[in-house]
Amino acid sequence: METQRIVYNDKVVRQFLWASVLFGIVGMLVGIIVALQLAYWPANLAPYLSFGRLRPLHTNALIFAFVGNMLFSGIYYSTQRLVKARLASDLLSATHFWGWQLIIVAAAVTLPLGISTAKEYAELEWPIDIAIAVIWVVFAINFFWTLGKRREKHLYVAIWFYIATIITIAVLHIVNSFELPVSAWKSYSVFAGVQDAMVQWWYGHNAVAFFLTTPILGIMYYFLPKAADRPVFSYRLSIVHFWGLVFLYIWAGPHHLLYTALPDWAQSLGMVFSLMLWAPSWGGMLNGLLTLRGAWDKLRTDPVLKFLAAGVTFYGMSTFEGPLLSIKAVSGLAHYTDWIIAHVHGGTLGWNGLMAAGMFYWLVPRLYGTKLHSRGAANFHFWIATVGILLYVISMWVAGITQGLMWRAMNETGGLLYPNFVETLIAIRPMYWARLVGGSLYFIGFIIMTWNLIKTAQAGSAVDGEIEVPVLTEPRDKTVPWPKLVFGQPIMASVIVMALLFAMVLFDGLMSTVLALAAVMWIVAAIAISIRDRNSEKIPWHRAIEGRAGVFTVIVTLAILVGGIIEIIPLVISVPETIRTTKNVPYTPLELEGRDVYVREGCYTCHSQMIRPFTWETARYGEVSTLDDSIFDHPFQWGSRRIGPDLARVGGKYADVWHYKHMTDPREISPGSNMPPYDHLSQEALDFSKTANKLRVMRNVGVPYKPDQIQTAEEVARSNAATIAAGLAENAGVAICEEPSTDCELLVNSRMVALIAYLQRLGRVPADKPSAAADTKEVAP
Amino acid sequence: MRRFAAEFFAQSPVLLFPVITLVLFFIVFLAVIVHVMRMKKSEADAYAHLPLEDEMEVPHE
Repeated sequence: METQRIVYNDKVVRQFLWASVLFGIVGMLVGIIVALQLAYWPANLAPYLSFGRLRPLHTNALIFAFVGNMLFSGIYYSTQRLVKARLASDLLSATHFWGWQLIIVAAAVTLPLGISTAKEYAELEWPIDIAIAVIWVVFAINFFWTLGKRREKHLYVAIWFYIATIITIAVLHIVNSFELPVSAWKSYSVFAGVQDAMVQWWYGHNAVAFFLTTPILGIMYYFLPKAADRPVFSYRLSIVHFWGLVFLYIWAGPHHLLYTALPDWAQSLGMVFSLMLWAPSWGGMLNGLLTLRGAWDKLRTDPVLKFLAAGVTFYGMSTFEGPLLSIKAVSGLAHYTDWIIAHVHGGTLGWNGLMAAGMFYWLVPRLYGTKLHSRGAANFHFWIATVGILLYVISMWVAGITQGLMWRAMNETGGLLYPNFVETLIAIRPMYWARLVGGSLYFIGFIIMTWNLIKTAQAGSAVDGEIEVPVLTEPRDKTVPWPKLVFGQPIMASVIVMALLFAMVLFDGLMSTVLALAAVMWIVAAIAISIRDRNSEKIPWHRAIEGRAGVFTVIVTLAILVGGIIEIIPLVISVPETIRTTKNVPYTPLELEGRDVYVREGCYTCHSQMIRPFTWETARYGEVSTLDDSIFDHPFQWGSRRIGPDLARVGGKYADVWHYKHMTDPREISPGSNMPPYDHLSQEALDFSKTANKLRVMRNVGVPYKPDQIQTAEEVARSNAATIAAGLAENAGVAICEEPSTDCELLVNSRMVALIAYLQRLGRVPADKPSAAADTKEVAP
Repeated sequence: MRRFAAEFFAQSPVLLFPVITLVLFFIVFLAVIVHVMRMKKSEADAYAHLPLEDEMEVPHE
């Protein structure tokens, strides 16, 4: 048989690998800084390096730069070999690589500058969002084009996980980034309050699922068998694992919003699907670990297997803890505490970090045609990383549960045992130091790995993999036309079962029993037929789609879309109705400016705006939050962590002077607080001439501002700012001024004044103003 | 069944969504299980060996 030689594109694999190592160091270093800032507030060295701005940088860097580059590296290496074809286009590969690095650099510059949409793990502003979408499409074209050129008909299970990743991340990113630009670097989400919360956590949860989990599972299904030199324990189990994850994960987002103002049915759906996730996740974890059957002795000597096996074990631990935390009663205790921080770091440091290290230790010697420089150093890395993770996770478990219990502790008379929030923070400060040590140990291990990998690469030289394959003389046969697949036996059987079950709803008595029986008989018959055909010549449906990348992709897309659509569409329908009947009114121009300061400084990284229906929450923060409270919020600011107290009803609780002094020097008002000082806001002037445009964009996303409100925005903002500043001068002797000068303590048109106006509004509907509901009809489109 | 359904959905029509979800998931799960149960062992083994197939690969020079 005539053969030809294929040279794989391993250059791009190497590029992504080194980029991942580099940004891993950067992201972890920022992680150490933010951990230090929580334990020791003076580490907030400058406004652009304060916790609120660095925390998004830390999460984005590690998710999209470290894990992102790592998964591109692994996907490109394994896909080429699994389909026996070189990557379709060198140009697309290079565009993908350099484009992604450019996005990372843009993120590293904009986030410290306070350019942020305040949506967790999606903080990047609209121009970068567009760039991400474009580069993701480049990746998708390159990947599917390569599949199109493949010489191996069957798509191995790893490729399915990659397909699910590409499709789902594209859908999530695009929908969650629906926003209207205000200026080159500022936009407002088109979703309002509860809608935005649902969309954001549908995105946020599935970013974890389809960016940090499915691609790494694909990598596990490729690299673990390679490293252990034996096939995966059960290929059948991997099929159940795949469809189980793809079908269940997409529904689980609402578990981030338990006990919030999100409608109950969506919360329950999120909880139930999270619990169901236990099964496929553990199936996949066991499938990975059992692949080592008969090779356990290799764990003693092979650092690659050590890392991969520990990584998969952490996958099992995280996916046990995740469903546990999704149980409403557990969430009631754990939500807003460091328990969640422990959970995500078990996943990222344990699962992602160790899998990445295992893959790097396996890949670098092969990509440079040499042996690993030092096994001893790799083993040391393994132990120091494991100890670091344990120290990190255990300290955060202790911190989270301690603080959660302190928040809800009641005294004999039924009041709060710890009414002062700071007490609960001071109690867990030793744990913040322990976490810093754990994270630092992990970081030291990562540096040792970097040194080891560089030494390895220097000892060899870059080699690209090659393979001899038979020359393809005929085009690949497409024996099964796509309509036969889309309307195949299993799909039609399912449609009939569903139709019968739903028909039951329309009838009473005997007829509904008959329909139920018919459905059951139909299921039994379908199974019987499929088993009878087991040995026939006909290609089974699933095997046929496994060989057809296009049809397979369409079915995966439908599977992930149905979850999002069912959870999001009802809110898209119901929110305009809520806006019509709400008693709430839109923010004043100054309050809106203040809200933008709140977003810019990343206040949501430490303060929630969502009071849950518990007595200890209402006693501490006020009335339970409702849908109405945030109905004009684009984006929502419910938050996910309380390093400081909830702010949903902080309006009117304290005087303006209190806020001014507290933000200037938090410890003067609240001794022991770890909040960064925001005295610089007093000197930062706002340009109110741009406020009208902000109101206009808000109206375009559905906030019922009236035309005259927009016209007078600048004037009203100025006059409101002057009133607040005058009050501060009169009551506290603050030296105010219109223009910056040496003895000036507070600029009238400053960010500080706007932020105070916003904080004083939170949870309060101005009594003297008519509600928005009465005016909606007059709003011009 | 209609009476029961009417009572159930009277709470809120959106309860239809979780019901659709449950039925859909149940069916897909059943279909996948049936598929893997009837998969031939030889076939599964062949697929599982795909990552181990590139031994032909030779280092460059």
